[in-house]
Amino acid sequence: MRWEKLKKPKSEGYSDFYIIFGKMLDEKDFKTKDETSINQLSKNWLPAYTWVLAANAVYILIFLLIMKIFE
Amino acid sequence: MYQIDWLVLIGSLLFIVVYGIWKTRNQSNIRDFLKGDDASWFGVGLSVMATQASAITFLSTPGQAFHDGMGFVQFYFGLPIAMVIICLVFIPIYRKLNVYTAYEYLESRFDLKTRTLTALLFLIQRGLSAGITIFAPAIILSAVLGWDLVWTNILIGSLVIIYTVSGGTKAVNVTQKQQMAVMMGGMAVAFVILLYELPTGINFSNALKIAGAGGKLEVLNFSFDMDNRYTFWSGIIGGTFLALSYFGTDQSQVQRYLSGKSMRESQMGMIMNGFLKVPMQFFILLVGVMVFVFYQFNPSPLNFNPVATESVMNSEFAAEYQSIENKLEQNFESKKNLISEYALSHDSNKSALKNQIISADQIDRELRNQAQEVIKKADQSVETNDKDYVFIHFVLHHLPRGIIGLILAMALSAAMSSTSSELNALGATTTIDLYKRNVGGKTEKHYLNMSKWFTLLWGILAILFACFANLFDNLIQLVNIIGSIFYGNVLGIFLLAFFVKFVSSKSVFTAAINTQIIVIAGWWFDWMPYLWLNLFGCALVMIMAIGMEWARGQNKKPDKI
Repeated sequence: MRWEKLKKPKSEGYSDFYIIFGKMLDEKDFKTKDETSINQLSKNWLPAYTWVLAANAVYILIFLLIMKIFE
Repeated sequence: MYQIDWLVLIGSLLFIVVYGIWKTRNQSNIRDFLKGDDASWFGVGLSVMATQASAITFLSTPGQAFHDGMGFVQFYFGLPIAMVIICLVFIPIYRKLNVYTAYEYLESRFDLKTRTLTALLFLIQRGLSAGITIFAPAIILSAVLGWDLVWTNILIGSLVIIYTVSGGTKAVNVTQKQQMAVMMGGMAVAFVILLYELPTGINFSNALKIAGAGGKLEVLNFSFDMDNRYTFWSGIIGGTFLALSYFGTDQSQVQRYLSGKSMRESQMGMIMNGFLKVPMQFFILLVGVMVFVFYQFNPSPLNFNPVATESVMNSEFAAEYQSIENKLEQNFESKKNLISEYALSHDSNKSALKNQIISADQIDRELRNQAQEVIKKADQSVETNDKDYVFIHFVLHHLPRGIIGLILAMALSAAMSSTSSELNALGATTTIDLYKRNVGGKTEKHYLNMSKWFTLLWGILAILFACFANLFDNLIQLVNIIGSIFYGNVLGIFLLAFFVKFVSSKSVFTAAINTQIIVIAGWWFDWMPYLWLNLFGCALVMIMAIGMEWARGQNKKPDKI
């Protein structure tokens, strides 16, 4: 099922977080013929989950910056 | 403790318990009780985070930063990677099979005996951990507040049992929202007060400079030193494995995200955890660093554990201990002046000042180590490592009335949130994987009642274990060892189930039994530091099962003519 619900306006109770990350986690990313296959992981993780890994990479860069400034 | 503190403490805890019971009344079937499955992504995320954050997270972590700096945050670097894998692989499979427990999946993938084996391994490991989750904060609070240890255990355990038995998974989810609010609210208030309590002229930026000069802001360590427990590499590699086994195969976490009202809500809850966990741990450590800065301008005890201090002061070593205390006081006065000068200076003299501060810090550390030696001479049995007591000492001696009650409510809320998830998971696994699977044909009402009885039974066992826990030396380490012995094997079984399609149940079960025996032998003969048993067990069961399957395939092949 596509995520039609996300097209609903914010007034219907969907927060920005839900809209942005809900879109990233679209259900099509999980539809595979074989759920036990490792191919599922390699094929689909990039488009859907880059953001959470990128955010953590940014945290690490901030930690580096803090270390440099206050060392 | 003033009346207002008692009012805040008792008021917040009672409100959470009563709200949990009231919100989840009228539970009429086992699905509602054990699965819930109506939580939003936000509820799932908070529940997952509250389950992982025990009282020790809030009481010990600031003390860890006080002594060793912020490097501990690296331990969580693998968690977001594990979250991605769990969202993509574990959750879709669990949701599609509509399971109550993670071990249920193993029966559909392998067979009943593999499911029963993993369920039993979970019950042993998590049953012991539930006792420690109650005991660990109880021993700290009883030491600093003079509360009776047994009654503190009973109080924490009973409050959790009341709403977990009454409302099941939904009650756990509902109360964890309030508990997370109390926990993070308490830490935020402590942080603001710490900033406010700094001397005039010392702002947040100056405070960070002071912490940096004391070596407390060394967040990242890229060395490959195996003796160093917290490095970037151990966090990324070891942390991913640990988080994968904890969030992917431990029912106390699996049950949290299976309570999401759809697969999407479960996944988003886990992604929320991936976004927030590292900053949350960073913030808790930062509070510890601010406590360190605070004690650069205010006198601190030689050892923060009041039981240790009392023990040495009532012994023949009191004079020796007092002489070290005097030296610490002199060092504190000279260091305070250096630090004030350093924080406010802008000139080239800075590096000379910094070197002087480093030398003074070194003296401070040596004096505290000497004090630990003296305490050990006075009483071998007392805990000399005082990191668990640093933050609570600051709270009790320097925070205003009312806020002390809030921080104590925070610690007890954290203990309750973790324990409730554990009891809920122990009850679910016992009911679904052992009782219902073997005693079929009963009514829904019967299984609902049985799951409540099992939850109650595990609650009583956890309290009993917590009450007798202080009879064992270094009990927390013992439970970590037990976890490391079982976790790797269980994770290996799940990884085989998900990723290695050709492996059959026969090979997996035989490999799992053999691996468990070898891992226990490895621990017994001390082949490696116990944390590595996780990786060893996981790799061994996978290699052994694949090898057996391959050998079986070779035997089946017809002879070539």
